[in-house]
Amino acid sequence: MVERRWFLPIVLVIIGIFSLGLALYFLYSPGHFGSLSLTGNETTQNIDIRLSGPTKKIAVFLVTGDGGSLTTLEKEIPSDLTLIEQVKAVIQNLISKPPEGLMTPIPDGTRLQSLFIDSSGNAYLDFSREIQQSHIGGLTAELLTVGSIVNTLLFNFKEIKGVQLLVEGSEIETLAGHIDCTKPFSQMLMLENKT
Amino acid sequence: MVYTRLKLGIVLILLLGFVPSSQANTLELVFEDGRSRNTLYTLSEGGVEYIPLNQVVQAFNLSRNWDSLNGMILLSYRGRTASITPDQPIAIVERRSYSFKNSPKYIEGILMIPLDYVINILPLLYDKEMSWDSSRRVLRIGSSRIEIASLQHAVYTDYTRIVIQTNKSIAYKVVEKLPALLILDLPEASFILPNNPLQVGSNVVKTVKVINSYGTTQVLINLGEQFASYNHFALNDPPRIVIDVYSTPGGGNTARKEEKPPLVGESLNPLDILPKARTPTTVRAVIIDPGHGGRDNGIALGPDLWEKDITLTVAQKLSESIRRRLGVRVILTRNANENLSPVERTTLANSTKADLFISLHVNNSFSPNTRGFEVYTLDAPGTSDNTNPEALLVKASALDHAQETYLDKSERLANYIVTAYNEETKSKDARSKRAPLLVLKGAIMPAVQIEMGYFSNPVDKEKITQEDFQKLIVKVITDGIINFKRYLEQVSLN
Ligand SMILES: [Zn+2]
Repeated sequence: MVERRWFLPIVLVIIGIFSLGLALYFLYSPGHFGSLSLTGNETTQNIDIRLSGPTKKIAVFLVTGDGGSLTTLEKEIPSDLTLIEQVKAVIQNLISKPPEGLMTPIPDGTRLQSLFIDSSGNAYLDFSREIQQSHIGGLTAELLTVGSIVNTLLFNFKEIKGVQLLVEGSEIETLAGHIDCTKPFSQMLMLENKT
Repeated sequence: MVYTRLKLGIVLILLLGFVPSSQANTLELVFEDGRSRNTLYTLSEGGVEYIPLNQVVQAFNLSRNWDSLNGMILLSYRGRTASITPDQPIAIVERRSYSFKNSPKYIEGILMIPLDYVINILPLLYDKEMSWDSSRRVLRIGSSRIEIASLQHAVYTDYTRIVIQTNKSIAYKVVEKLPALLILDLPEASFILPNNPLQVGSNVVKTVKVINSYGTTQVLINLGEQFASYNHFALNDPPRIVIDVYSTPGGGNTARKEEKPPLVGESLNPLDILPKARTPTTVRAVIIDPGHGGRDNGIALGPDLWEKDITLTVAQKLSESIRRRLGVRVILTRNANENLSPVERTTLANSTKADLFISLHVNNSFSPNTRGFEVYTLDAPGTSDNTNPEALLVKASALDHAQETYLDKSERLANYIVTAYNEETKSKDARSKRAPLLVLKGAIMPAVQIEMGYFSNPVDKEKITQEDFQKLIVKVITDGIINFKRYLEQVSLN
């Protein structure tokens, strides 16, 4: 035991240097998805979003081609935007045409009209009427639509604590007759089955 | 146990044979409370150490489910969940995301979990402290964290009793901020309490609130106008702290009174203007809700056929079947092409004093592959703690937590119907699931929503309009209700 003590300071110095390196790495590496490898792993260019400056990686929840469940797709958005602008960019990515093999559960023609984040971190997203009128209906489809929006925002932004959907500026009871949309969703949506 | 270990060992040896440049190792799991020691077999590949998921599930006593919405594996421990997605270094624990270094992955068909998931993510799920000693290769799982299990109260003529139940005995001290407040100082504890703050509203105690404050946990007892004195003591089996607050002076000096069991379910929020919660002992009346109606068509099933039409047809047949086979009263929320909001449907169900609620729908998805008969109960995630209390009060309506009391019974009803379907069709096509469904949220009775089949699936689509299939659905739902009624009657006898 005694003869081991001499190298303790050396170990501490090594740990110190290592931690400093690690801290610097995390401070200066773009985004916090460092080693993320998500399904598809594709970065789709978007007309509305300029991608010349520094970017950050985000993940959007889209519908899988086969299983009718959600999966994440990695995208990039400019990192020098305000939170509001970032959320808008993320929703834009969610609405835009996904790559082969994936589907967006947001109906065609849907626009994000405005966005507001209150002091408790609840994000209110005001969508155009298409999100409701052009929806194919049905519980699972509704859950996939609401889940893709809610999960995408709660997953990517620690600052966002809740997500509420509005249509044409008004609160809604449900999007398609089933899912409770009367309050902000504070947790990601999941559907648990016994295996 | 020995056999399982042997089996895992063999599997790992085989894996080693197949996967080049991989390396086997072991690590010790030591449960500090002295209960057990466990050896886990690990496999290193590309500098990353992995443990087979099966071993992790077994060693930590977790249960494994499938999240069909997000396509993830869910590990759960005492109602908390953490996700695993192959090839993604992201876990969702209690519905928030956390990243870790290396992705779980399949190696030779076996799902392997990286060691850093076990070290960094499992402690978020598990209720115990963990520490990893990499030189000795020992993962120590500490003694349980302190947990406040429940907060209850009972109002008697001359005093109000507050009972704080914990998972183990703990030291506490009472700080007086008289005449308004008593503070119970506890070591830092975790708590998920559905009734926090607890609205007592007696003449001596207004509210009780549990909060975390700078590394300690405090129970704040807001005193009422008639407060005169208090007394406190700790009891075991189960471990709990009892505080009696008196409207007469010297309450703290009188001999300790016999502890009466706290009146559970009496702590209704004053906002709850609902009819008093009832415990059904049998089934006397059933309310059936044909989904959609009026302007709300539901899914377009054909040129002139909507979800709202099918749900009404089946509801009418079901109503007839229940009346005939159970001899009980059946009410429909609508008997024509009427417009009703989800909340109006629930209100209707509550006001008719029915004993169970069944909402009928046709399902739909974006993919033709998903199919089957599904029975949903309410997914009631706790209210967010981010909203400030005032805002929460304004937002909270009487209906928000109504169904929570009945969730156990609702799930039982769902399982009876699912079982009846699978037995009748000799298949596994029926499942029970949970979703945040508005129509179920406010129901003060066991309540389920039935999705009869997927319109987006060609097989289900074909069946849904057929007389035979509708007959089958009606039969299995009635069978399920009969079994549920039998269960209620048995429980009330014991
Ligand atoms: Zn429906």
